[in-house]
Amino acid sequence: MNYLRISTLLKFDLRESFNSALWIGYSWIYFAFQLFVYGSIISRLIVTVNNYFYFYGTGLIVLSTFNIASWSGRRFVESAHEGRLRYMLSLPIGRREFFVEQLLHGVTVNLVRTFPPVAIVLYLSKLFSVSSFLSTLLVLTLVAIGVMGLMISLSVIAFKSFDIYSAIVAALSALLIRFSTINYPISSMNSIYAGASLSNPLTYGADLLRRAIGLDSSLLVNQDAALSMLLALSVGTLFLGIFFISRFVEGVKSS
Amino acid sequence: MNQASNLLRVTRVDLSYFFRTKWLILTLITLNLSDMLVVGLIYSNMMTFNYFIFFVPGVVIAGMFAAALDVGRRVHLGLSEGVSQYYLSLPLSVNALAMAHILSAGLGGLLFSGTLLLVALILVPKLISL
Repeated sequence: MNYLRISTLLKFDLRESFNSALWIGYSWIYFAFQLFVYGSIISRLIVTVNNYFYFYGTGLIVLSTFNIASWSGRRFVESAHEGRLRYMLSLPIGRREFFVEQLLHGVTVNLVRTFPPVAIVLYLSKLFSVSSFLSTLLVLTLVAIGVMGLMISLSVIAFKSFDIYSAIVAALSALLIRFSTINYPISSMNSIYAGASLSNPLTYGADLLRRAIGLDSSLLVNQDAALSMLLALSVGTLFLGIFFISRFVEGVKSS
Repeated sequence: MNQASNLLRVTRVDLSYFFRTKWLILTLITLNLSDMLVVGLIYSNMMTFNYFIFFVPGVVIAGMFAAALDVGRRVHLGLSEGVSQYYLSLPLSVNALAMAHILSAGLGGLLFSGTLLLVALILVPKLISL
């Protein structure tokens, strides 16, 4: 693994991603708007969860991570669609190194963009500590790696048809978000929905984040199961992504 | 008269393009139905009133809004791929072209939300009396 090549490409990609301060500002304003307007209104209506406002806030952070990680995967597909990927593949960098660079880029963008939302939720809930802050960032990194690996692996479909990829990703994202504990605890679901939610990695990511922050753990899924699931997702999709990139990415042109 | 019939032709083409964009239709259907059948039902379990009945008409309106809003994407696509230039070469004024897009957006939103409304009425027949 040539770290110098990875860091050179990473610097180039990061400069491009942080070029538009407007979009970064927009994502923070969107978070604040969702939390302080929608979150505060819906938390007045919810009676089964104490301090639903913070429960919702942490869910919103996971949702932001999911969206940023999806964007990173989509960016990879769009680079194939626009012909940029062919140029990237002509650079003197190995396929694995290229995948690791894409992953590091996504994780860095994610951490920068979720930093203010995490700080706001920790500050408002009065649960801020160095350990809670660091463990929160660790959980978010695991979620980001898992989702990004999944999206990059799905990009194989986009090399056949960009429209089918868009449809699958959009439908999958909608279902993953709704059948998870991002917005509501598992105890409020019926048995069918709870079963679907328990097979969804986002459930474990959201609940592990709530534990890391220090919210009431009585409504959350088991900590060990959550950590194992998240690690398995990250490692699994990491290897899956490396496999797909090294096998299918040569000479592709997304249609 | 000629302008009106050309306007309707462009409206028909634009509307058929919306319903032929399968990924968009699938996304909208998944979003709206999962909102209705998952989010609405679960939030109902967490509140003291029947949130589901309150939420379903909201989803229908949100679906209409999203479907109608897609006209912006189609206009942008037309501009970036030069289709608008072709439209401008037709015997059709710019105002009539804008009207055709607005009409197709409205009809698309109406047809899509109409389907959602039918699903909602099957799920919650009480909505008719509300």
